[in-house]
Amino acid sequence: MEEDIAPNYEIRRKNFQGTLPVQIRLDYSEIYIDKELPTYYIMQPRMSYFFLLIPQLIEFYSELLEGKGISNDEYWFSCRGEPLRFDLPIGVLYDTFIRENSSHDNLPFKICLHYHKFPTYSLQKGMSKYIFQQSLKESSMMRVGKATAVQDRLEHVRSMLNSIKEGKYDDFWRYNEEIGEHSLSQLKYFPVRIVINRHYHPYMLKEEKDSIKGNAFVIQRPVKVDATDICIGEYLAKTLSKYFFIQTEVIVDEDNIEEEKQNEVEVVERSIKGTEVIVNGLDIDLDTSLTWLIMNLSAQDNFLYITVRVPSESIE
Amino acid sequence: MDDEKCVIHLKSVGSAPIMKKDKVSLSKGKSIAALYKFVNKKLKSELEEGQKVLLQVSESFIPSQQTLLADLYDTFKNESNAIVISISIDEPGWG
Repeated sequence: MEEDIAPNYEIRRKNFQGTLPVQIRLDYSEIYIDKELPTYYIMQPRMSYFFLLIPQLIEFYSELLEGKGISNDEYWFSCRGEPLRFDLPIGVLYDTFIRENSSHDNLPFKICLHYHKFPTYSLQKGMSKYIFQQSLKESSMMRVGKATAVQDRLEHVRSMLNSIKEGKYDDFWRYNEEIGEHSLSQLKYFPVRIVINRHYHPYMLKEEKDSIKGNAFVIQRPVKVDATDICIGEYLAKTLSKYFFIQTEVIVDEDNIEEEKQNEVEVVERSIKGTEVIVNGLDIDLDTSLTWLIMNLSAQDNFLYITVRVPSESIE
Repeated sequence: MDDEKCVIHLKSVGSAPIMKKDKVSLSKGKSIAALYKFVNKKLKSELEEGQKVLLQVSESFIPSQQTLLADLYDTFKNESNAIVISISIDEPGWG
């Protein structure tokens, strides 16, 4: 079994190396300025995080921002008027909000940098510096039941984050080996997060709906390592039954029609036509093995991020 | 599904004030943001101006604000079926 679910190192490297062009404008709506400010363009690894760009953006816009005494914690990003979560990798944010039907028409990924009116209703101020290490610790707790390997190597974690930002795969793994590489027999759970482009979670209370704002919701359901492998569709039907369900179809064997021999097969269906399932920029067939996806397409914090895009025109 | 509850065991670490009632039962549909509000309210009189409360699960990680207790409970409940959450001030107790 162990051989069947070993990672494919070539795919893992390619998964790490995916990039996205990003366009960033500064929101200077509260300052009078008599000229157009330049726009910042950069290629960014899909696995990286927007908050890592803040120091270089402050430098780029130094003419406007210098001497204003704005702390790095005041900065935040938005896309189409909505604050962007700091804790999701850039590629996951793009897949969730922008990507449409595998087209690349929406590139570059256009976002806006803000330095005032921090949206405390949807983001937690001052937390970005902790994000990667916390996510890594959370996944370690799921995988091996403890997070001491991360805890004891916070210097390594900072180097890992830098390697992600620079797109340096070999450097990343040099640091990650002691933290993230475990044999299958040591693992308890595989960390998996579903990111949905709706303000929805199966357990969310109505009162919470009003108090936690945001346009992406994470549903976190790890998968037991020793469980039988299932397809991603079955996993989604179990965790997100509002949008995916299992239907039993009867297939009639035409050669044996006289014997009325019938076979029943289970098929996963989408409740809303056009709902997309994406992992790191790839459209995923619902019958793809979940373990295969976890092994090969997980992000650098060891979570597999499954984006579920429900079409915006659908009414619920 | 709406009214399923879970037990949260709130442990103060370092200089964090101690919660008078350290075990609370909350709906699984509540978020970490709601738990922050709850703890901040309870500790309001003991916190100094500008002090920031940080919550960590199972003496290890800070969950995101939007995380629902349901997602933590199933994975991180301890032998007494409670989620252990540490309260620290300004700096996380466990890095």
